[in-house]
Amino acid sequence: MELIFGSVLVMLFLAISIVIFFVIYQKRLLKQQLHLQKLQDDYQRQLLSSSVDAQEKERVRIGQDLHDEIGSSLSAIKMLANQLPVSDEESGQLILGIKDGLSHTINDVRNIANNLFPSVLSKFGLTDALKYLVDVLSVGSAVVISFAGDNIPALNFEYELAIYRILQELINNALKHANATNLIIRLNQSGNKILLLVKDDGSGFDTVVATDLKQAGIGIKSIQTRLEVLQAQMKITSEKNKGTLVEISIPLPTATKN
Amino acid sequence: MSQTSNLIKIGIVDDHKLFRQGVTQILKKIKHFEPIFEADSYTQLLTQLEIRLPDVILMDIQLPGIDGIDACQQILEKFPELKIIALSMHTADNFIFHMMKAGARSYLPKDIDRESLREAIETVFAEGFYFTNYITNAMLQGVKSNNKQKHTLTYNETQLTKREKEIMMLICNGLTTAEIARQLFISIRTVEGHRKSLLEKTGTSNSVSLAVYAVKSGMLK
Repeated sequence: MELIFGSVLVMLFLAISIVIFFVIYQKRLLKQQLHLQKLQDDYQRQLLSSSVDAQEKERVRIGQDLHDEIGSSLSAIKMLANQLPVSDEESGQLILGIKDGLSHTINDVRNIANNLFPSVLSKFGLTDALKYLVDVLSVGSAVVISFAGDNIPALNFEYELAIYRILQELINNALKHANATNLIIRLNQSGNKILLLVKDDGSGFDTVVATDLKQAGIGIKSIQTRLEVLQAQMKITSEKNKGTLVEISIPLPTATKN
Repeated sequence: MSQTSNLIKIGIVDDHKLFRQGVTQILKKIKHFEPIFEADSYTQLLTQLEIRLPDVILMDIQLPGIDGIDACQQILEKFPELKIIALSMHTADNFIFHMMKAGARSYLPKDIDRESLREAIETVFAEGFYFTNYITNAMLQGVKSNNKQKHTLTYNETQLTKREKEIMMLICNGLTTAEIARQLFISIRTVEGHRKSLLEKTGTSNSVSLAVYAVKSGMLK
C-alpha cells in the first residue's frame, strides 16, 4: 500500500515536472523566436539603411560634381562666348542664342544638382534647406507654398537628409499630381519626436491604393523605405476633391546612435 | 574718375582651371585691370599673397579642403585691407549672407557677364562694396531670420563692455575712428583697441558685419 502510494507520488511529481519543463521550454522558445524576429527586423532595417546610404552617397557625389565642375565649366564657356566679336547681325543673333542656351543650361544644372545634393542642408541645416527648397519651387509655380518650422536642434547629416528627402518627395508629389492651389508644409518638434505635415487643397486620392506597396509609385516606395529606416509612422488622410493631409512622426535618434 | 587711371590688381582663386582662364581672359581685355595671379587652392592663394597683394580677389566659395566662408574670414584676419569678391554657383540666400558677413565686398554669380563683372570690380575698388538686389535681399533675410551657420560661435551681448557697446553704435552710425575718438574724448589708438576687441568678441571681421551683428543681436534697432 505504501509502495503504491509512494510510486503514485513519484509519478505525479514526474508528471508535474514534465509539465513545468514544457511550459518553461515553450516560453523560452517564444522568447527566442521574438528575439530572432527582432534581430531579423534590425538586420532588415540595417540592410535598407545601408542601401539608402549607398544611394545617397552616390547622389551627393554626382550632385557636387555637377554643381562645381559642370556648373563652373558652363559659366566659363559663357564668359568666353561673351567675348566673341559680333561682326554682323547673324553672328550677333547666334552669340545671343548661345548665351541664352548656356544660361538656361546653367540654371538647369544648378536645380538638378540641388535636387541630388542639397548644399544648403549640409551647411546650414534642415530648416534653412527647406526654406530654400520652397523658395526654389515657388518660382514659376502657380501653387502657393508656405513653410513654417521650429528651430530644430542640429541632427546628424544622414538623419536630416532623410527627413529632407521625405518632404522633397511629398512636395513634388503634391505639386505634380494634386492640382492644388495651396500647399502647407510644417516641421515641428514635440518631445523626442519630429513631426512633419504636408497639406494640400487639391484633388485628393484613394489612400488604400496609394499606400499599397504593389501599386505604389517609386516616390511613395522611397518614402516608405525611409520611414522604415527611421522607424517613423505615416498617416495619410485624403478624399476625392478634398485635398490630402500627410502626417509623419519620426522618433529623434537616441543618444547612443552615432 | 581718378581711381580708374590706376591699374586695379586682381587675384583669382578657383579650383576650376577653365573658369580661371575665362575670367583672366576677360580681365586682361579691360584696360585698367591687371590680373596678377591665379590660384587653384587656399594654400596657393596664401603663397601668392606673401609675394604681393592684389587690390581685389575674386574667390570661389567652394575651395578644395576648406570652406570658402572660413577661408574668407581667415584671409581677412591676415590681410584686412584685401577686398574679396565671392564668385559662386550657389544662389541660396544663406551663402550670400554668410559670405558678406565673413567680410566679402560683393557676391556674384559665376555666369556673370563681362560688363557686370567690370562694374562690380571697379565699384568695390573705388567704394569698398558692390551690392546687387540679390545681395541686399539675402542680407535682409539673413538679418530677419537670425540666421546662424552651423557650429558658429556666438557671443552674447553681456560680454561687451559699456564702452565697447557705445563704440559699436557709433561705428554702426558710420563714424570713422577719428570721429569716434573726437566725440568720446579718447585717443584714436584707444578707439582702435576697442574696435579690435569688438570684432574679436562678436566674431566679425569688419564694420559691415559688425553692424549686421548689432542688428541681429537686437542692440541696434
